[in-house]
Amino acid sequence: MSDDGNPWVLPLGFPLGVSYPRHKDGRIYESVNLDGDLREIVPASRRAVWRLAHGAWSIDAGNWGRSDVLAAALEDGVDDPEEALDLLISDGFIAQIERSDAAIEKFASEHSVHALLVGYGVGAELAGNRQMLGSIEHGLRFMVDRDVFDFWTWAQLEPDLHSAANVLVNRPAEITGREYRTATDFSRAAISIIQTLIARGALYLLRTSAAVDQSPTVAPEVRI
Amino acid sequence: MTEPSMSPDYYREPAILPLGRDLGLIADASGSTRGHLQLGPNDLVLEADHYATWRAAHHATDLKSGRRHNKGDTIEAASQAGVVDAERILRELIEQALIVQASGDNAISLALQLRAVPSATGIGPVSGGDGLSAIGFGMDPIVVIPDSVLEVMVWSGVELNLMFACSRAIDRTAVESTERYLLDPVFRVEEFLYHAQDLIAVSALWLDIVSPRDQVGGDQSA
Repeated sequence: MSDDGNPWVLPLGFPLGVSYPRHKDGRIYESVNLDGDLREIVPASRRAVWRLAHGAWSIDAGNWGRSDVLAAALEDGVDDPEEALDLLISDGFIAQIERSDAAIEKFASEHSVHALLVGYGVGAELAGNRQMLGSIEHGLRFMVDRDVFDFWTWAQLEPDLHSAANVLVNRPAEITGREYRTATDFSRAAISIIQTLIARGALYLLRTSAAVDQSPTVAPEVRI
Repeated sequence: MTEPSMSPDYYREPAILPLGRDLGLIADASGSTRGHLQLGPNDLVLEADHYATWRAAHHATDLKSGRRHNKGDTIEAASQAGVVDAERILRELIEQALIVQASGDNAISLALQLRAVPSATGIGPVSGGDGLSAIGFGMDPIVVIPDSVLEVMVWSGVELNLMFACSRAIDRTAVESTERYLLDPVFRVEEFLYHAQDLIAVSALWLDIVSPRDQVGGDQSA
């Protein structure tokens, strides 16, 4: 079945959890570092859909799109998830990407990737085709394919996904286990990789400065 | 906000802080392993003893005394992990700037040279813990830090260096808080570095160098 009518959806921003900083009015909300500011998601339906857009429910399936998130939200009893999703998209908390090359290119040029967790690498007990990510001290670990590990390691060094694709498309296939013809092919594949990593809490996405109208921060004067 | 406590030890004995992101072990055909790190735009491979000593530098504060993990503690931990001549190896790692020693004397210098990169996300405020927030993976909390430290951590992932991240936190504090000490950049840097060891110990944070490439980078905070 074609997914053409089911655009990808990806959450944006660095999550700060629920109710930080505290609201004097007692409201519960998600706080997200997004577009250079701390922003809040207050309505329960939007909080639920934003969480579901991280796709942790879909680790095995992967490659989820708008209709999958809406179906998961309906299953969870979320009120009017379609309206909640549309508002999250218009407010910039979620990116919706049509499955065309032009849409993928636009998304890639406007977003940067930021890795979370640490690597376990390849232990002696593992076959060479997969590598582990996790948190050493907390027994959290999961295996990913070599191309996912390679992306997790290196994509964050580039200012945006477009630049990352242009660099990583040339990575040797004997390291990544994959070959791509063009950077656009890579970016298309990268969306599935990004979903895999976001679902595991191993990555977050931000809009680039090119996509955000924001003045630069000025360092404080320091007297020592 | 509650005024955080920083042990006087911070100013007497430098705390050990490892630099770089752990990428894990690399096994070769013979089955022997080496450590794989990322620092700036480079990946580095450390021999087993050097990697074990670098890992031994990932250690939280002694909860009873509030004392930072220092050079002697790292040597002891590395020796317990089977490293022979841990003192020499630690010295080499410090010379290679894969481990730094932080104190009140060099905090600002470090803040200008280093980026603090979160590897875990916020969970939310600690119930009943005024001014404290939990950091973790997914919904699982792994460490609790003062809100004032979290404020810096929020920006540290997207700012050029730790100094800029403190600046961002202070900008926001100036709007929301009347606590004057929170507006002091030197205090904010020292406080963050004081708690960085606890964050690094649980893989919630890693320290990177500010490379020339970062200075022309295009993240959202540029």
